[in-house]
Amino acid sequence: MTLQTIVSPLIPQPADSAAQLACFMGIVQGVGFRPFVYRLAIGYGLTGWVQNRVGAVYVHVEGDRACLNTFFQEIVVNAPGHASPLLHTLQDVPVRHYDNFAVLRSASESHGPITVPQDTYLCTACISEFNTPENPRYQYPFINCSHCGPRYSIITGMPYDRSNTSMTAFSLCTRCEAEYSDPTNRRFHAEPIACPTCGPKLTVKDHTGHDLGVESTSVVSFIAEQLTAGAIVAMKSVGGYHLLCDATNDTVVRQLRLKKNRLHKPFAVMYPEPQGNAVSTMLASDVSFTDDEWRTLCSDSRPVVLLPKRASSLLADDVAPALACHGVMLPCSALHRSVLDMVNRPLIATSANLSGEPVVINEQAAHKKLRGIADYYVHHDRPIVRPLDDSVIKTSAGALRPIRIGRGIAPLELTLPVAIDRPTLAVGAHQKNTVSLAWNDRLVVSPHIGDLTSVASQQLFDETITDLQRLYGVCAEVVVCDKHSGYASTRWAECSGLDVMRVQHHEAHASAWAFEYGVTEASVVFVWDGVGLGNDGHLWGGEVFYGTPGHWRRMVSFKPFTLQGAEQAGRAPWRSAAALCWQEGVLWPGLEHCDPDGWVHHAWQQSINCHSSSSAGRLFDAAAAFGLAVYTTTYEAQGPMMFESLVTDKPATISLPIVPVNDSFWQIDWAPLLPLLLDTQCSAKHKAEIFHASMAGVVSEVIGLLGPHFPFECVGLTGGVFQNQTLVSWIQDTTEDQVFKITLPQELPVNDGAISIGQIVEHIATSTCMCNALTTEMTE
Amino acid sequence: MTEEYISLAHGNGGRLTRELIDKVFVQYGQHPLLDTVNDAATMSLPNQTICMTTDSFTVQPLEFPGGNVGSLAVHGTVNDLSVSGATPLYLSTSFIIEEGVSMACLIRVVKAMAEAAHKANVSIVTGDTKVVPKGQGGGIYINTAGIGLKRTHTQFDIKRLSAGDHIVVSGPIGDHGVAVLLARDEFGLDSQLISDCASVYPFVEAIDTIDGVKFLRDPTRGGIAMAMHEMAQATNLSIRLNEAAIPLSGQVESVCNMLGFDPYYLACEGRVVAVVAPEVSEEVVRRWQVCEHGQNAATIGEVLPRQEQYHCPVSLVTHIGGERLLDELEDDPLPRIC
Ligand SMILES: [Fe+3]
Ligand SMILES: [Mg+2]
Ligand SMILES: [Zn+2]
Ligand SMILES: [Zn+2]
Repeated sequence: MTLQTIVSPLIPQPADSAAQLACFMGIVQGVGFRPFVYRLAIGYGLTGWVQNRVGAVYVHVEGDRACLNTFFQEIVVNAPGHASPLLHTLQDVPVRHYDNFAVLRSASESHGPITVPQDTYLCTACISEFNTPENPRYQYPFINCSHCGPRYSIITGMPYDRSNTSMTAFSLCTRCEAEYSDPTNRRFHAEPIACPTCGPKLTVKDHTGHDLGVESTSVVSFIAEQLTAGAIVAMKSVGGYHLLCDATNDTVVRQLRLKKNRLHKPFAVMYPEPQGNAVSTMLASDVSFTDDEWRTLCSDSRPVVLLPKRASSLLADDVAPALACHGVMLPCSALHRSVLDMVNRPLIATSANLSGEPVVINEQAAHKKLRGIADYYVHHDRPIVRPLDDSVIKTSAGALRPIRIGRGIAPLELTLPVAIDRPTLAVGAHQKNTVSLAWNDRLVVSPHIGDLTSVASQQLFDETITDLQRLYGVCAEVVVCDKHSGYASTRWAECSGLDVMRVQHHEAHASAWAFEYGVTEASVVFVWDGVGLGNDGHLWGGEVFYGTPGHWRRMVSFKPFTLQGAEQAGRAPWRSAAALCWQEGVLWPGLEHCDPDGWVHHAWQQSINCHSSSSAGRLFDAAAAFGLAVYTTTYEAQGPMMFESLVTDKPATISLPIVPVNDSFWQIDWAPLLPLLLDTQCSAKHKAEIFHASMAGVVSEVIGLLGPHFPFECVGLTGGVFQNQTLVSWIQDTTEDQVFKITLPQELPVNDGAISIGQIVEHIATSTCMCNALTTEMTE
Repeated sequence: MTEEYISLAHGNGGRLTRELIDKVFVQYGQHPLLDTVNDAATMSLPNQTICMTTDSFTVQPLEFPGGNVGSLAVHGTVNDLSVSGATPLYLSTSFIIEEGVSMACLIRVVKAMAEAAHKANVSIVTGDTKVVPKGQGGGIYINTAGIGLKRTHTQFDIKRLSAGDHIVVSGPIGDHGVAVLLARDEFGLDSQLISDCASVYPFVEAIDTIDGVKFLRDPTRGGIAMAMHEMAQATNLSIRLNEAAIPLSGQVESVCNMLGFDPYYLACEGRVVAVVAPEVSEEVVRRWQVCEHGQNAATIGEVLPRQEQYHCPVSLVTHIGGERLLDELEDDPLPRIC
């Protein structure tokens, strides 16, 4: 139905009434917006209709003109829970003399700016039904309403309608149908509406794929019993399967590590839903948290929040070995909630995947990929359309910041400061990959895709690119990628047939920061991470830029050192330690263990498979190898995370010389740290403290050095190294009384998850200034 | 011969040149058909299809455990003929020697050539020598050209490849690449690792009567990864290898781990990869396993329909059951870990 057929200009208008047509954008679909508008219109005695179109909700109302004004004001002010309507256009239209207010069927012909709704946890109304034995949806795992439930993970197309979700296969029973079509019901147009009669059901299979015939209603008690007895269970969740087991049972946690071949990387722990607003004592005895962290745990996106361990913790030692924090979450679906209530203890809830691959989303893959890992499999028949990992959030420098944007947060929608002239896709980095799509003044960031080394991740990468463009009705003409031609994302870009633009990795980091804070003046940005390909062909990773997006000048870097072993150097911290020693001609006893035959030293001397690097991340690796004898690791940043976990007190620092190379480039010399790190009399804890304090100290020294010559008001810290909470809080301490503002990403991830965003921003900045240059040239 | 080192005069066509030919090439590379007097060798070819190939060999160091540039020059050309479905018969050789090369070294190279040719049942029938000034050549460069007789019953043709075919390798990979690396850079190891440098003709002969054998390739520079890329690109198919099945010596594996190399990109000089119909792969493996150097022959992967969504048609199923892409080799693979 088009607008023209509804609003006929031929109908005469009585003088006492008026009609207006409004277009609402923003978050208006999948959030109970239309029922809200309906109830409001009825309340005001207005007639007309409300309709979902692609990306927008249109409202036609007629009645008393004064009433119309209040009606539209109230829509914006009192919009329900997750809705965030933006009144895009409001115009007078001819009165049509409707005798009621109707909710029209969604129209998909016309395209407005689309907003894809996110998956959310149960709302309070659903929770109370879930807990009411008389309610038909009592303890029903797939309970949801127009305010809550699965969204992005089940959407197959836009507009958001049942027929465009994976629920389309379930035909509604009479009760659900009545609720769905009753505009006064809170499940009016709740697209995933379901009940035990007509909705998805649970099945339980054993490790051989044999259906155990457990009744849907008994699944929770069956699984709870197995978990209590020490079983490992793969359970289908919202955006993929979780592997669950008793987090207080040392044996099963160790078993899960061995079976999953995940020897040390921390597991997330899920706690039973707190009763009311009371903080659960179970959670409070294992970890400590602030009010903000508590609110984030309870928020509808149900992320994993990293929280400091407490000595009183009853969790198995192997949950997060040698680290100071636990990754904690609350139930993210009704099913999890019931299971956790029944076992009444914390459970490991880790993404069910093969190491380096995306989380599995269907039954077949679960049995294939988790063979030999899970004892029982809990499946349900509501298909997951696309995988979504749990979001991960961590407090650092006094604010909660995302480490991974996943379920409930992604797709992340942002507004560009200037419109982009051609629809552009940015394909991000190689690890922690996300992709971004930009058109007009909009920027949409995909969920975390992961490490593109595996074929499965590349497949998800590819699907996500297609998916985003299709959902938002945008067709990219330009692709922005990294300068590193070995990244799978870069190779994809080169084969895409689109116009390819390349952006340097650390400049993308800096631009993502500048974008988030809306910084337009020249600023100083520290970009410290592992490695990225620099403009000079060397591996950068400890850089300080000055400028604005499109105009970054590399001012300061760490003194380069030569790493042997290509990617092995990123996995084995001892290689970083060795590189520093060999370069300075210092002896390190650790080498007797790590390079007993001297092969690597020989290869280093002969420049075999060697690369020069200024990486801050590798300096942290080296420090961990020296201080803790962490020589090889099984997950990224394991050494630095363990090293940071030792820190309690802030000691004096070792001052690192900042040596001028020419009049606008300096190098920080890390060499004075070596005697400390090699000192056999000094404890690992003390080494960790001095090292962190010295690295924090050098940041303020660099700022002090640049200050007199290069005007700036903002200082940015970005790159994976700044996930280090100790480092950033000590930087904050040492720069507290300064005139400039020091910030690190808060809405965007500080790590490579933000690279795709920075690529877009950097591309806009460079192409805009190219256009300006061209225009200037032409007018001259 | 009194000279201990090659001088420019050895290449000037004068006395020293003649002496070099007589006292090195004839004496150590001797073969009845090697005619040093006439400018061209004369040989009779049966009235059948012949195959011809040529290749130049430069290797540093000139000598390595298990071979030297001389044996390499014979095997390289013999292997190219073999995998093309020909019985190698005759080789020509052409030396470019750098002034200052020790005579002893040259003799060892020529001897190794002769031995390799003898073992591979080929005749080196003509040769040439030039000497370049010191600094203008890497010791010894050798070009060989080879003629072989097309074995009429073989039907090796890359066009026969189809989804479902199996990939079979005749032995452990990367031995040559690692042996040369360790020898070149004087790792000073008492390494037992020797190059796989050898003729693959016996492997070809062992299986080329099997109808389902479709295509052979010797994975030299770029290793099995690049051999797979060439096949996948030529056929518009994909290839998936299975890490757990690929034979790899413990030493190659530990050197790769230690120095950060990927064994799938390391050169082999005596291995052959066959693409065969699935029903004959076991038979091929069985026959190869009884060949010399063939005891570790194994089926290591399969041909799949092209997966259009990837930029790379070759992948590897890892030990833990994941799958990663084996990209084309870059000049200098930079680390990607952030
Ligand atoms: Fe980075
Ligand atoms: Mg060749
Ligand atoms: Zn609800
Ligand atoms: Zn129902």
